[in-house]
Amino acid sequence: MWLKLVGGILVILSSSMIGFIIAGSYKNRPTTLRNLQVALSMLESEINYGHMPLPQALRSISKKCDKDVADLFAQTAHYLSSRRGLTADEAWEMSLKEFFLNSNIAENDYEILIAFGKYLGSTDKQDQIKNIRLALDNLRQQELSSIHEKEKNEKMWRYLGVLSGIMIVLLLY
Amino acid sequence: MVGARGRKSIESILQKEILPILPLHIAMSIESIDAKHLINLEEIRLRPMKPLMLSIDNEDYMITGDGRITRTAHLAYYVTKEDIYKTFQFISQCSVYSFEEELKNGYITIAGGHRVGFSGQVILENNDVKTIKNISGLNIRIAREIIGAADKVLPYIVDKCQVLNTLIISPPKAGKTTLLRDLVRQLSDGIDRLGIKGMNVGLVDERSEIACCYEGIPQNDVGMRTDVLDGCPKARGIMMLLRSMSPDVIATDEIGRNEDARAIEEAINAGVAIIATAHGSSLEDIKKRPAIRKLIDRNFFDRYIILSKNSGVGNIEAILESATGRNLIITQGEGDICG
Repeated sequence: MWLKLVGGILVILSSSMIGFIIAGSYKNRPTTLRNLQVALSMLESEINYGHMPLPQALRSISKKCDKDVADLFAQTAHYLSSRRGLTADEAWEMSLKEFFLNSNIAENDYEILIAFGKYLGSTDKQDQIKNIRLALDNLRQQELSSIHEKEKNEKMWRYLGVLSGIMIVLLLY
Repeated sequence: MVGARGRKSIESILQKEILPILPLHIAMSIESIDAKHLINLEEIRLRPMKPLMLSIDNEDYMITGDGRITRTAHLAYYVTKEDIYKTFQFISQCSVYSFEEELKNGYITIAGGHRVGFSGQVILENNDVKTIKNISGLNIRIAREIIGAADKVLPYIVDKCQVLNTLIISPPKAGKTTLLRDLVRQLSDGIDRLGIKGMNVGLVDERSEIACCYEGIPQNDVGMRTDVLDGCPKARGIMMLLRSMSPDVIATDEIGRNEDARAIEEAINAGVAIIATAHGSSLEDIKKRPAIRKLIDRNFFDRYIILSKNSGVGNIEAILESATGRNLIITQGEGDICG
């Protein structure tokens, strides 16, 4: 009897946990996208007013921006200054791949950031700013749709987790 | 006098300063060349679809992909457009936008004071060079400061612990900038041998060639009492230093315009010694330029140092005393100047 009860509780707990984790990914994506936009705006002003070379600019952004996205910038700066023979877009792509695996951004967001990286550092100021603004616009769109998805999916996955746990237990009894 | 004390080895220059700006495979092939061939490396040239060239001792050499020096074009490594693009990215630290001003001038000074010149498609805006795009040719000029280059000259341009107004006259590539740089360094640090105390030297480095500032910090040793105005037009710079930094000596490179002459006049009248250089092969030669002629005719300079290329870089052909026109280098030995 006790064994059954403990087992049932475990099943419910773990399935709700799964539900919460999936819901969490919907919850965090808008925040990450928001933070990315803030960081890119910082990059814009570093380039526009500071005329700061990319490695320094990225490093200073990684210190100022949210921890959530800091690694992406710190790592790009690290690759740029430590590895011989990497251009800015290659360094960006490498660190973006690592970032993608460890964050909640979606495939679409990733593609926007890859496209942004293609021109990173390689053109004059006006072009750089245009490129950043374009990425900012796109990320803003993604953020809006991610908020929408969050509202739709976050609660659903939580309920689904808990309820499916309860259902499994009931079926097993 | 070339090859005097304190010259950085070519291996360390290449390793730390030059190879990091080249694409990996080119860096590797240059790395595998025996360093003894590269001792007098002056330039590395990259042109698209053309062999990779090194200029050593005024001679061109090509190199193969696996790092052998050759003179047969079809064995050489041919530079690709991609190589040029990448090198350009590395030179600008992947930040082309932060080098717009330098782009307009056609060159960038990189860490170590080396100069990278480039050619390509020039974009004009209001009759002014806006930028260069489609970079097609790169020339990496290795800067070699020669500590001690001014040893021979110094006794002649200092009189009773006073620096004399000096004009260095030299054809291109004969070592006038090297000489000026070492003069500045020694005057600024002080010279025990001649009993000269260090003095404040103001350096107007319009083309970033003397101190070779990189991010504001001189890459060459220009002495401990030297203030550098980097990238500043000469005439403006001389006036700025005069007003703000109270220098004992002002040094500048390649004078020639009217406003330069006026600024020099101003400085000399204010009691500040001037050391300047001018392009030319003899005193008569530079007298053809009206601005400099005025200065010469009115005896603003005390000494003219004339360099020539005939007997190797940095050789002094004559040191003229302007008051008498005598060539001091024959008539006077190194003696006690600051007795």
